[in-house]
Amino acid sequence: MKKYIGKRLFWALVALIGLSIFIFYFGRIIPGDPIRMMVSPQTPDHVVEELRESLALDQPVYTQYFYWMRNVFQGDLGFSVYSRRSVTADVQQYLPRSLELIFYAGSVQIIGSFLLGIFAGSNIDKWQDHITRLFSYIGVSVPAFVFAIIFQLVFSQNLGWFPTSGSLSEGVATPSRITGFIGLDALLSGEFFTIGNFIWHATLPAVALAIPGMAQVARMIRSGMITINQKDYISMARGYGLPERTVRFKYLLRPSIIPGVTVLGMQIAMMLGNAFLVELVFRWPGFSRFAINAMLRSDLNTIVATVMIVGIMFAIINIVVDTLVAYIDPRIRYSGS
Amino acid sequence: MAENSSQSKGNIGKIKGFIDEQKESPLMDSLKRRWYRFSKNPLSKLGLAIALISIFLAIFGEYVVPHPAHAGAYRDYPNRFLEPFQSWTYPLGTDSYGRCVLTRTILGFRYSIRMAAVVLSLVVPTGVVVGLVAGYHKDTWIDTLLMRTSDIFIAVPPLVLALSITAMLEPDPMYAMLAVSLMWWPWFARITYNNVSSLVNEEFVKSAEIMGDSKTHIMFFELLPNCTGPILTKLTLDVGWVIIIGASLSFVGLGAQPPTPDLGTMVAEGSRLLPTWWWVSIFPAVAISFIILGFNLLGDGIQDAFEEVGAGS
Repeated sequence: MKKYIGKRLFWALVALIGLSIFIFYFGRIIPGDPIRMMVSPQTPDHVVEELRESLALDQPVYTQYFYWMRNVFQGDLGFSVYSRRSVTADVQQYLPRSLELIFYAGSVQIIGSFLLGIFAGSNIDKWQDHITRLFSYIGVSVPAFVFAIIFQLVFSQNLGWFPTSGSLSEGVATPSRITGFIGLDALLSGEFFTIGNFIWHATLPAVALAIPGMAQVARMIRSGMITINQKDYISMARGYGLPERTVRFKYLLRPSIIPGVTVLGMQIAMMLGNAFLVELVFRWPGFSRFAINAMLRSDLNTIVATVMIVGIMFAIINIVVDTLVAYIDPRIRYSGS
Repeated sequence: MAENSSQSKGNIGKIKGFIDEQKESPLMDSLKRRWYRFSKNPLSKLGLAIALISIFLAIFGEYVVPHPAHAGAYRDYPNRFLEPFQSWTYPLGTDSYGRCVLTRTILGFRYSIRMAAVVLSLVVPTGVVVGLVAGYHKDTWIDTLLMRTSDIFIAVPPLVLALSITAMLEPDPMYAMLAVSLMWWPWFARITYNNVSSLVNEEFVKSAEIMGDSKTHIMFFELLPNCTGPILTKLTLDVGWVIIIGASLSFVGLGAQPPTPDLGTMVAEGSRLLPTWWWVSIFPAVAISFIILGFNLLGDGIQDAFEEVGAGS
């Protein structure tokens, strides 16, 4: 098991280094002068050249890459042309908000997809099953930003149940920074009203993020339950006269959720991408919205940092999910290691 | 199929040619059976219909729409923000420039379908060839090199890498297509690789090797036909995914630029007019979902068709 995780970590690291080389080179080979974008057009040439030298931009790309790598390990992600300060500062300010949203959305997705999947899988070919199927087709076909817009239109603008945008109401003070996570900071300083207000703001974006993946995972769990339900050992358990609840929760459920959990990891990782659109629609003050605005201004350092941060989170999620699957499925646990 | 390589090999080639001829009728037979499996589910037929309608509108949209002139920077301020379902002239209302929403939505099909067509026609051959080569050379350095290189491009969710690459270039549908293609081929490499690597040790591959067939022949004529089902299913389902990503790029402003009637761009422009003039963004949004739904249903149908036959043989 340890060997398996170690191997996964190693190849994830290789892929991430490859990705960093790719995205770094790609950013440098395209036409356009990063220095000219940083300074005002009237800046005299010698100042530009001095700046170029001080940032090592006159060096070959591979030298620049090694400088960049060294700086990254010292916690310096470079200067952002868009926010006019260090990318590290931007990441520290915005990333926690995004992570909170994704954590919330992930929880909604996990709970929702399991409930729906079991709900459909226990009532095959009845109306519950058909409703779930309809829901899953909608979930797969409607892009996340369309969900976001429709939710905003219906639940906040027409019905007024939820706020249209932002992460806290006006007049609600941001809790003093302890960890950078609003929910956690508010909890630590005991401001329960702030927590409530924050969750109220986060609900629509979180649900809009969770729904597309929820639909797919629910379908996987449903089909898993159908497959396992036909196994001999389930019939045998029923034949022994074990209570239906024991059969269902002890013997049927655990093997049937395995394919669902694998897809769940994929889907949570996809949320990292969809967050870019949903945060934009709900004006969520998170990292994805910041990154999109930086991208629209071709801010190279922020783009590279964004790709790498999302890549690292993606790798972590994948490894955690694979470990989790190995934990649920003893066949992998004993043979794979 | 295999004439070129078999003619030079004399008798063995003749026998193989004979066997190939004999296979013709079972092929038709299995196609019929597949169509039967496919058409048993009405949803699959619905998906096929939606997919065909979408492709038809993408090609012949200009001849169907009521106001072809409204495709570009057309202006008709007296008729702006007409409500939908009120008149036959503008069945789905008009936008902030007085352009017919129905016309622009139908014309938008072209950009979505073209995106999917271009991306998939670049990505499928690349990915399949990489997957075939890597899978056939399983557990050698070729396998490691190819598959680990492809891992780089799927180390980040597709949308994030597509956004970043398009952002570094210029906002343009052309670059958007290239960016999406660049990170999409690994998925086809993977699916082909998984299928091929499970088949490499089968007897039909070993016997082809013993008969002295070239590696290329084995890869393309022995292994590839056995992966058609999964590849075709993935391809159909991916039409939807590519359209979502393309629409997302346009929505952010990194794809087609206004006044191009691109569905994602239209949703983005219209979302600023919510909630009062909801129809400007909601109808293009419904259209995107309609196309994707169609290709998803079609993909499920193709999967059914191939799974059933595969399980029987």
